[in-house]
Amino acid sequence: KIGIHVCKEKSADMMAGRLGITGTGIPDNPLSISWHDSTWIPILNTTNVMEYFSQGSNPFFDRTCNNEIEPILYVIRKQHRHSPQQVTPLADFYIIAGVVYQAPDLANVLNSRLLSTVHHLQSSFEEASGFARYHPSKGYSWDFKSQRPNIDKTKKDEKPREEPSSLFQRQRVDMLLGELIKKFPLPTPPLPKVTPVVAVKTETENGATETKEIKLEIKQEKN
Amino acid sequence: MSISRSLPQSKEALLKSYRTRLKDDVKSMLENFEEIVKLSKGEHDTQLSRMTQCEQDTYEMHVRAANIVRAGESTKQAECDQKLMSLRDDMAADLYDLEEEYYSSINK
Repeated sequence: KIGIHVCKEKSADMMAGRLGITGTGIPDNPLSISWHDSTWIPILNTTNVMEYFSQGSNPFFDRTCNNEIEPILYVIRKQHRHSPQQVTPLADFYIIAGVVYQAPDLANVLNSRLLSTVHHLQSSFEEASGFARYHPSKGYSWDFKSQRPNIDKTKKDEKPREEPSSLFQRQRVDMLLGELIKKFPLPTPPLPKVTPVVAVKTETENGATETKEIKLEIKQEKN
Repeated sequence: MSISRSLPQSKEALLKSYRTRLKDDVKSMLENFEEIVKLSKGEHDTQLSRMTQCEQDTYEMHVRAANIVRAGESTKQAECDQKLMSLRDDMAADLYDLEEEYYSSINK
């Protein structure tokens, strides 16, 4: 952080609240207060005004600001000297708040700027062309509403689950099917003069149904 | 038999515009295709860093491909219009013959 910023946190302390001073030292309503130190006033000038401002009791001064480090920015140049008058700069370094960086040369700056530009253009182009639609009779149009990924997921969830059957289930079903076939024998392949066999009702007794079937079959054989 | 008429001025202009449009579309498709193939060579060793040059080439190829698609779509539209126009002309010729037949029979 460089300079002073205003903090808007509210303090739970009633005393501090009454005085209008929060934990960071900056008051809630800075526009309505003022501060001065009468001993400094007669000798104030441009050279010592910053020191006057950073005096302890001044509520406007933020202790964490970068004015503590004086000065904040250092620039260092590395150069090759050919003669007392002729110099070739090789590299520049800058130090901000104690952290050292190497300054980039023009080519690198241009490269990185161009790269970010082209990348943004590319991604916006791809996204926009995904929405464009064309039909020879209708012409060009935009289609922003179709969202496919969500629709596919819901379809998969709605598909009914098929669980593998157990051995008990299979045996039981086989037995039941066998009994049903005994009761209602499978229809024989149809002969040219045969009248169609009507489906037998389950209400009649087993014996009665069987004799009826047999009679029909005998009739067919006679014909 | 169809009657041959001298084409009116507007039709001439229309035909000419279609012709130039088709020419431009085909030319654009060919040119863009050539440029894409040239770009895919790569390894130009220009002043830009490899990443930037690569990204820029990719973007250019995308745009050229889009140009080809647009030219193709324009050709398709021209073909569609052409079919509709020929259909309309056929119908008009038939209609002319039928009307001639109808009105001559009434007058008798």
